[in-house]
Amino acid sequence: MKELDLSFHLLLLIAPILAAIVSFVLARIEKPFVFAATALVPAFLAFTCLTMLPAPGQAITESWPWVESLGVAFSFYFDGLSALFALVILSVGVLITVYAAYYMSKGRGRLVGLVHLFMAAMLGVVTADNAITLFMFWELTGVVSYFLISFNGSDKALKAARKAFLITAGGGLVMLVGLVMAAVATGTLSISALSGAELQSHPWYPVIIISVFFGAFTKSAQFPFSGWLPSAMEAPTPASAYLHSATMVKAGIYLLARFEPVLGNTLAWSLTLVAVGGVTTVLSAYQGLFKRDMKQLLAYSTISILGMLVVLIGLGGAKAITAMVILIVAHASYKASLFMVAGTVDKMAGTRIIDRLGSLFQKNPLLGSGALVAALSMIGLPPLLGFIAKELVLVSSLATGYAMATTVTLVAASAFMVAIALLVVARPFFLGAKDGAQVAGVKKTSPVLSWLPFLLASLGLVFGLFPRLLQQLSDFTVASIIPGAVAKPLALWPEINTKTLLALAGSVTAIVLGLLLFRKLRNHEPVEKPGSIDFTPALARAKQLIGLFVPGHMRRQLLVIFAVSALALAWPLLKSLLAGIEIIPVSMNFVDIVLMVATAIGAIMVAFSRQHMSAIVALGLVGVAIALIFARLNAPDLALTLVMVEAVTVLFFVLLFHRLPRLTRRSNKAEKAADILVATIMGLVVTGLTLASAALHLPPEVAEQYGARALLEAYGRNVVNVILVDFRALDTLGEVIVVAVAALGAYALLRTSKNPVEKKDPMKEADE
Amino acid sequence: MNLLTLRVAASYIAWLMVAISVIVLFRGHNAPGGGFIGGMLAALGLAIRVLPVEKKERKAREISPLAWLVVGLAALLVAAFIPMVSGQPPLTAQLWFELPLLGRVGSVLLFDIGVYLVVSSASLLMIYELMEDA
Repeated sequence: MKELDLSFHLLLLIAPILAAIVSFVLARIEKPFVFAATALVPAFLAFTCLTMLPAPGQAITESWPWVESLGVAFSFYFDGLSALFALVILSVGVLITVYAAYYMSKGRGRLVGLVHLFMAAMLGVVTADNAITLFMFWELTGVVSYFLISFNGSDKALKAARKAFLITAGGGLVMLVGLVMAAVATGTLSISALSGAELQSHPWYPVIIISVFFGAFTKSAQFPFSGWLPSAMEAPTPASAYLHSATMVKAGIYLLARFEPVLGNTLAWSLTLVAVGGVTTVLSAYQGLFKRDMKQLLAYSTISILGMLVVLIGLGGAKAITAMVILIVAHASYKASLFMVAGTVDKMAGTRIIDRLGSLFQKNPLLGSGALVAALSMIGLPPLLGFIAKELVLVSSLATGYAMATTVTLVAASAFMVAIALLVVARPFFLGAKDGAQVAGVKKTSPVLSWLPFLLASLGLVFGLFPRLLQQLSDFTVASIIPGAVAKPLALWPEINTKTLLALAGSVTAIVLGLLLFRKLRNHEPVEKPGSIDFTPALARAKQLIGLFVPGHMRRQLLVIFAVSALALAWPLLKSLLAGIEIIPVSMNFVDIVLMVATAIGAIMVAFSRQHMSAIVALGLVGVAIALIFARLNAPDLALTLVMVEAVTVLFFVLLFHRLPRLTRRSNKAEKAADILVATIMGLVVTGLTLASAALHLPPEVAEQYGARALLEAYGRNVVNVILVDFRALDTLGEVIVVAVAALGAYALLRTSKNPVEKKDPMKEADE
Repeated sequence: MNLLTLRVAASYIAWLMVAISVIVLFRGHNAPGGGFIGGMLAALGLAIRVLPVEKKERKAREISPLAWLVVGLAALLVAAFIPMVSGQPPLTAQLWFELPLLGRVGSVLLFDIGVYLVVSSASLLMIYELMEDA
């Protein structure tokens, strides 16, 4: 444990948030340089992480109390695994921030701000120690990702964002269940305190790992949840480069790696991971072969690599985990770089479809070189880091029990990836344009957009030539996951034994196969290959089914709601009635009786008026009468609130009066009868419930306590107000936020119902 | 009643109501009142200001409910989370200073002010929109 003066974790989280706020506030400034400068924040943080790197097996921990009685704390834990992810998040983040600043023609500030916010959320995920803290940041990444995917505001983008959010948030909720169950089983919400032995022998173990799988598989787009990632390519390219290659999708991998020492080492864990990862890696790479948009190609290959990472975690052991570390670093470097290349190509030539591109290397040799280096790393050729990664992956797969199956799968997937890499890079840059295809005119773009991918890709070259640079980080990460273990020594040329030779053979096979596939595919017409499960038709069916029970008209909806609740409440009510109700006598005088009669008259008038206006007035009468009854029962706050609400309600109704459509038909006799019946039953049920609950003798201590403490502890003589804003302020906070959200929703609905004309969208041009 | 009379009187009535709503807000802790009641009163007052006015002049008389909504939410969140700065759990009541008329001022008052702002701006948000065609 290290002693700290300034909180390390708070710095990690708050600095990017501040950078985001600065970007949002300065959004109107046109100069890209200003926003690129915010990249200094993640750069500084990356440097801090490097200097604070804990020793293997140790970690920096910090904790702030949140809900002490439940064990929920705002706690953080920085060990080798966190460091690996944090460094990837931050270093790629630096480059992406600069890239985004120069890439966007409009909306720079907003995009850069969102990227910083995302950085903060992601850092929170990889350093969180408490299950609730983890969940909070997990969902936060999903929320920020929604804003990033839907950035240009088009219908397609909104749909894609919604899909991504539903899938990942749903998975997140299931994960929460699993985490809480683990907490209940072991008695602690702290992740680092979880005991593997206890959990693995617990009867809840299968449910817990399934829940964790759900969280990881949805976030990392594993089969069958891969559907959201390709459509998420609607996001602006800098966002895709960051989220959907280097960071967000890796969150699932982080989760699995973090829980591996605790939940791993069982057949269920390993088998599921290897199976799901294996299917994902081959299937998605295969699907990717038929795409022609550069971003789509990259998206599918990302899913495939994620599958490989899942398989590696499933395999377990120092070799596989070392492979995982190197693959994460290699993938981040070449994938983010290739995404940036795709973005720059888009800016240069106006299209990302490879069939319309060609001979780009001559037009932009810097970009072409960067793309080439990245592609070589993706293919897995020495002396690049991708080669070392591939070797390690295949060697660890050969070292396990089911060697043949996994190795063949991995080789197949690698072959597909080689083809994809060639499609993305060789086709547009080095081959001539397809005959007859129109090659779009090439514009000049900022050199920054070509330098950045080149720099990132060359990192792959540097680490490939000097892999020892990564040795320390690998050791730390492996030690966090497998206590006491050490990473395999990294070298460009692996030691020669059967396994490495076989692995080499595997790589060569993959490359050859890939080349052959590329030759077949380079002029292939685009084909849609279904394979991932698309949830949209299922959602549409669900909507249909629900529509059967909830008919469109509000009248009928209310009828159904009241009828069902009356029926549901009738039975327990009858039971307590049979047990005997006690009616508490209350002293009434003349005024009370008048008020009650007024209320009844008002209610009858509302039901039977033939005109809207008289109904509205009668409603007001009912409200005021009830308020006066409250006042007479010594509840002045309640009465005042009701009077205010009545006044505002009447105002609303009067204003809405103008918008109401003309009544075209009145209810017929049968409908009226049904209404009266349901209304009467519901009224009787509610009255009965009120009487029955009044007969319950609740302990008076609660009220007395509140009364006594209000003055002494809260300095207030008005108990009601004190309860609302002090003792039970949390409830009020929730209620007021709901009011705000409801008002915003009503506001949006009211505005759009007036103008069905399409709004001018300035963001649409931002990424085109 | 003459519409012109109402239009002129509306401003005075409105600001009177807003002033009373502020009094209601601040007296809430020791007498009936508080953020909710005060907020609705303020919303009614500001609605009355705009109600009798022609469409063209309406914009000039409207406040900006969205901005105030955000301010209110910010006040609520600050009041809720500021105790964490000194290591206490959120929503721990903080006492800051004492003023002659207002009494004790602390995070609870800030919370109530937040409630007041949110309730009034939320209502006004909808009322202004509804008034567009009326």
